[in-house]
Amino acid sequence: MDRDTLLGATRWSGRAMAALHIAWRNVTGERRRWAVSTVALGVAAMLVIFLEGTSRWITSSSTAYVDHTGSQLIVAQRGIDDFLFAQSAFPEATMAQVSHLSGVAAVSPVVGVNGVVSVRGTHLPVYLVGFNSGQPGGPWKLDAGSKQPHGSEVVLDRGFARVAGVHIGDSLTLFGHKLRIVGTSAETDAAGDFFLFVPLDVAESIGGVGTVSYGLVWLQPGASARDVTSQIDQLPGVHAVARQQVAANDHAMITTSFAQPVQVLAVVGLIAGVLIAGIVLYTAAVEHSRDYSVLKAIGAGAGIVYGSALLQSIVLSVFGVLLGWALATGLSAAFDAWDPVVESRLDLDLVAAVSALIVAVNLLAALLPVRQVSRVDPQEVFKA
Amino acid sequence: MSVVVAHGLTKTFGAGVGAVTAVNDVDLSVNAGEVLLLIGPSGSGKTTLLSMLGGLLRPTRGSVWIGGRLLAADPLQLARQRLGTIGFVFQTFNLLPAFSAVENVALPLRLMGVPGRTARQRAAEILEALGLRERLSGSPRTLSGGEKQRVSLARALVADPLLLLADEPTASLDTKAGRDAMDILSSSARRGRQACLVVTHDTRLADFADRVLQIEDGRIFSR
Repeated sequence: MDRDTLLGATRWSGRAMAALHIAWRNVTGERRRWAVSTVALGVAAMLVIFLEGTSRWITSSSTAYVDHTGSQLIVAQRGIDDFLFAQSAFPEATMAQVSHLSGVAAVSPVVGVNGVVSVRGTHLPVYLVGFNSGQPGGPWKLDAGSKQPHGSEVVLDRGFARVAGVHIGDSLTLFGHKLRIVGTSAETDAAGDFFLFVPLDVAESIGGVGTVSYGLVWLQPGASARDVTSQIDQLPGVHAVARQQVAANDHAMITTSFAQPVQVLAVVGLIAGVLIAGIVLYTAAVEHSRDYSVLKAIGAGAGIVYGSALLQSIVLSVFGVLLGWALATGLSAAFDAWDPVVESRLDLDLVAAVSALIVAVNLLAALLPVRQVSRVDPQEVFKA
Repeated sequence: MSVVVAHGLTKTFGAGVGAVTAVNDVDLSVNAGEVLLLIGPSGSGKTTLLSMLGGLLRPTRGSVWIGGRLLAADPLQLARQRLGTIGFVFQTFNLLPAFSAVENVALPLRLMGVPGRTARQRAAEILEALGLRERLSGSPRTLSGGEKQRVSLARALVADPLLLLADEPTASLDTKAGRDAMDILSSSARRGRQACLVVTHDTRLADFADRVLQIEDGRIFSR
């Protein structure tokens, strides 16, 4: 193979592959350091991914009940626009009036009682929902048993049942009422506030006989939500809010109260990850400075030298993110099995976004080692 | 035909009363197929001269032509010029530890953009010619000093450069390995019509040279 044949085969893509090859070898050449670096980055990535997943679970679970009612409007005590954190109350008879309004197809009253219950010595935050069996407003996803309580029956969130150590068929006393467990529901844990479902009259006896908290309203086909809202607003002591607006208000409230602190922790994890990445990459650049001086002396262009340093960062980050994703998935599954109070929703879009952010931030962290590489003197090759 | 020509080459480090002139007004040329030995003690300026000839150090004054082309001032062009025309051999071999022997040799070709398979094929050919057929995939850590220097020589020769620059190529080797290395270097240069400049403090290497020059205090003398 002569010189002309060799040089005739040169390509831009060949140089890019050379940069990638150098980066790959620098990362994987020393397996112990590669493993330590990947684990360090992976743990940081796991922390960020898991906490972001927890943040998403907090916000999405907080609106799960309202989202699943499927109603277009929610009637509440005038001045109250929220569901989870507010204590709305108005006469049950108002719902009969709402049902007769023009454009209303159906209504379903619900009673919501916030509180803390003690079961076998464990104090648990609960949101007791009273609804008419057979009508909307109850649990939407059954875990086990029945999702329609009658008489002195209750359907518990499965997390509550697990933490409290109770099972279907057991009886327990809630707000002074002895109730028999007939079912457990899934996805009814609003950021640690367990939903319990009882017949409407049981909830009314706790919250106030003849008083309901909210009214779910479905419109007739073609009916104007604005017109119906306007009519409801004319009724004494109540007003109508679009279901999406109630969900948005709860979402904003839970974000401020719970999700933001978790996101602050995630940012701390991200900063830790960046520092780890920066130290790992800087150390690698320093340790490989002799190699970079050889590359420069032989005639490697700036594109290959800096490109390989940046690619090194990307390769390490990708390994770290993949490991972090796997660890976060494992941790999420472990939390789900061990402690149903806290969950982490690792949706693909969330993981992809967080992973891209981690890689991007690690690239910024790589600027320091790239600067180090840029300062390497090719004359170092002559030092013994 | 002169492959490398240096004219009035001078390098001064520092300024004012503390200034040190490491290389002083050197004129030099090496022809194709010629092996030139530059002998001098430590601190004589031989590595500084080699660095300037190889485009790794900018001279304070003077100029260097390789293959009839002035060394470029632009760093990127200079790097390309080095890659395409100069092969370096170092005292400490300077093999990349994360690369196998064949990958180290293929490196200059990869940097030129030659596809990996073609580059490795050419690198394997030259390593086999140097008696390292069994060591192609060996890590530099597992190679003996003599084997490392042969890999280093193969890397310098793989792209068939116009000029070979060797800095104390036998200093880290025993006598036999050192003579083997010089034999490879000189015979390759003569066969390939490459100009070869070897700087050393070892006068025993004169046997391999076509011409020997002495460097002292940055000035060159004929021996």
